[in-house]
Amino acid sequence: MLILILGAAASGKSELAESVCLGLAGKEPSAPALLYVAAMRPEGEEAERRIRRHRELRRGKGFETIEAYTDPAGRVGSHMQAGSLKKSIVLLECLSNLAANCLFSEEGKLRDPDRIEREIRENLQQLSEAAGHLVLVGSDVFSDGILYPAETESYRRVLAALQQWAAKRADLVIESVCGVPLCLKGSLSWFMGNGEEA
Amino acid sequence: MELYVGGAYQGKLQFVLSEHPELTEENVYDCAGAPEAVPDPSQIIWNHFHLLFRRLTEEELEAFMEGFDGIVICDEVGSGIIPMDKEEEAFRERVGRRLVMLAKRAGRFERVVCGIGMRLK
Repeated sequence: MLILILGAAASGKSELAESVCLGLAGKEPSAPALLYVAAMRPEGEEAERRIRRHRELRRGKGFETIEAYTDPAGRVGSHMQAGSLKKSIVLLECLSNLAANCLFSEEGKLRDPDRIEREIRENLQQLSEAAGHLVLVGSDVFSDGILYPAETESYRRVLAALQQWAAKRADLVIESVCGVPLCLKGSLSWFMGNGEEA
Repeated sequence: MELYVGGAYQGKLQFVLSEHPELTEENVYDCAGAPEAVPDPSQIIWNHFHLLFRRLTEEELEAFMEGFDGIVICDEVGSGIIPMDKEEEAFRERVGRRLVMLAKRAGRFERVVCGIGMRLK
């Protein structure tokens, strides 16, 4: 299953994504491995604070963390055998960091947006085929009505295209509204545990 | 009249065209056009509607829209910090207020997120 979780900044996406993973795990007969793929580079005080907060949030939930800033499929693939990966639940957080890491060079120079978008799509496609379930966390940075400098608009376009690509393939698309799931595609009933199967 | 809103780059036009197979790109009027550009009668989809507010005053917009009964596609622009710039602040305010009016009038109103439409009316 492919699941996409969207939402504004600080809207409870991560916690919701973790709950979805635990919900998926609970449906499997043998406890599957939970992999947390972190795309955020630990650079700067704010990034470190966010990473600490996310670690705290995940504590005790049984996730193993893999850092992958630009190549999630490759990093996960070299970390785990294909057979075990096929039974695992992978949570990738998040597309906005992954897109930024891939689109801008370390000196902050913009790479070719079309090529980068295609490469990320192929990478995610590969990851989604290799994993048992893949949960992707995205981000809504599109509704403030501001026209940014061209490089930022390129970034917004790439991120939007990736999220639309994922939404099209996803079995479930959820927007987190203050941590409450709003279902944009598919059904949440299996996860909310009211006994109905999706 | 129909109204479709959503953030930038959310696949709104593609969604509208997929919901209206009888319409094509030829029926689309891009509001980003020059100040004097007016839609052809066959151009019943007004895309990037928020950009009209960059080139028309309220009075001009009223006249421009008179008798319009087509499809409006507009970016949602109100979810940021109130702009310091007075003109930007007024732009955001005008778009928002006008969308409320249009949503009241619309026979069909949807919000598009990530290419997925959610019918609100």
